[in-house]
Amino acid sequence: MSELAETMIVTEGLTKAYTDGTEVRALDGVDLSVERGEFVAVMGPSGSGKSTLLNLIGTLDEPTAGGVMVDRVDVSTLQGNALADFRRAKIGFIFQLFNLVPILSAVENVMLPLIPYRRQCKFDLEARARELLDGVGLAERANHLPSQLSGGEQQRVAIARALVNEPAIVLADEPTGNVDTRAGDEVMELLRRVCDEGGRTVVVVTHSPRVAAFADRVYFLKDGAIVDQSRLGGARSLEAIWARLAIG
Amino acid sequence: MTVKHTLLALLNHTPTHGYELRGLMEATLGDHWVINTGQIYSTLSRLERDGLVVRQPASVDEAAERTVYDLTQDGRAELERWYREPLPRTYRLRDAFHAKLMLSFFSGPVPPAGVLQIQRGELLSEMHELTRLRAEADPASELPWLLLLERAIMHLEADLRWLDVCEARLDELRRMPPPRHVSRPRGRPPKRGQPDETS
Repeated sequence: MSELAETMIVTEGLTKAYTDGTEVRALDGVDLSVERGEFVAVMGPSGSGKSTLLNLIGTLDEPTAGGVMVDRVDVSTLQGNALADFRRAKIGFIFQLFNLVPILSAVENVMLPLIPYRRQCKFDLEARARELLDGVGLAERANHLPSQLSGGEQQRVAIARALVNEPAIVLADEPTGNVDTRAGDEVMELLRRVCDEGGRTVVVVTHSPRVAAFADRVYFLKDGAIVDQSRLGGARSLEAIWARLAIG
Repeated sequence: MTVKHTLLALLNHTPTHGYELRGLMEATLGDHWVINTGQIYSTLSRLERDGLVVRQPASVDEAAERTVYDLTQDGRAELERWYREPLPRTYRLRDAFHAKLMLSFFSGPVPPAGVLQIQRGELLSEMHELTRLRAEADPASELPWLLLLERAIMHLEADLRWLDVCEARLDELRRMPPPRHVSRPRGRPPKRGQPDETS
């Protein structure tokens, strides 16, 4: 198989500028690629352009220049309904503030992205939603409202919701930003499983090294540009750990 | 690592023999604590010499390695003293990376931002492996090991945050004047009244 066939996301010269008297470049010529089934983190301080990058990859925003290819489709060629259909077929989103609908139960929130398309679904949407909630350890909480759940639980509902359309790509913007350390680790362990067991491509943007450490590869973003990338893990790192843990 | 106090603590729980102490130690602290049995026996005899442990008179097995030890009053007092005293931290603050970073400001060939970034990638890579090991650890049977990994992760987190702080102050650091040698007297002044060794 060619290398191209294995690439899930490619950005070329991706640029987003805002003009407010003077031009401000939130993102300035970003080239990155993410392989199918890879877990990638984009790390950078606040204001470095992380969320802008994620929104452009997720087709929630349009670039000023440059382009995004998602699963070999140039998303700039898609408009209106075609773009919405593409997004619904390919991408699941997870946000820092969960974005659950407060008057809907957990299971209804999970079903929500597909409710308008329910009649076209060739499966039982509610059964799938319950199965997904079971997968994130919340089977018992399916009928609870978001306000009856902890922050970590709400984010797990959001993960289940992101998976309801069986997307090839899951995009997460600071997914642990609003939960405590322990719950944040659980959220990240779930996302790791979404990648390892579900075979999905996961891109997480974060400022936190603790979160980025879950990824296979990290892109470092600064002032709207990629300054470096790093493949994580390997024998050398493991040796360094054993040396550090050596106790006698 | 204090084998002495570990043995005192274990014996305070159950009087037992050297071989079993090794197993109890692994069960309590995690099986990554590689300790040889010889070290346990030599520590036990030192503790006995110092009156902190005593051989139980009616040992079931006469063989030396089956000798059952128990704490003495002094042993219990020493154990309590150890628990009540905070331990000094062994984490070293002055390290080779700090030196490398400071030197990079006036002596290339890699600029400070590059030095920081190389280190960041390395620490994150270690953190990735630790995160994986932690996910593999069984929270029910390997909790001591899991908590040790967590500690290592948090140390790396602190190191990485320190790199962020350094990066945020790169411009200030670049404005530091280049180092100049200033001659000044070093070391302790010679004591008065001491005989001159050269004469």
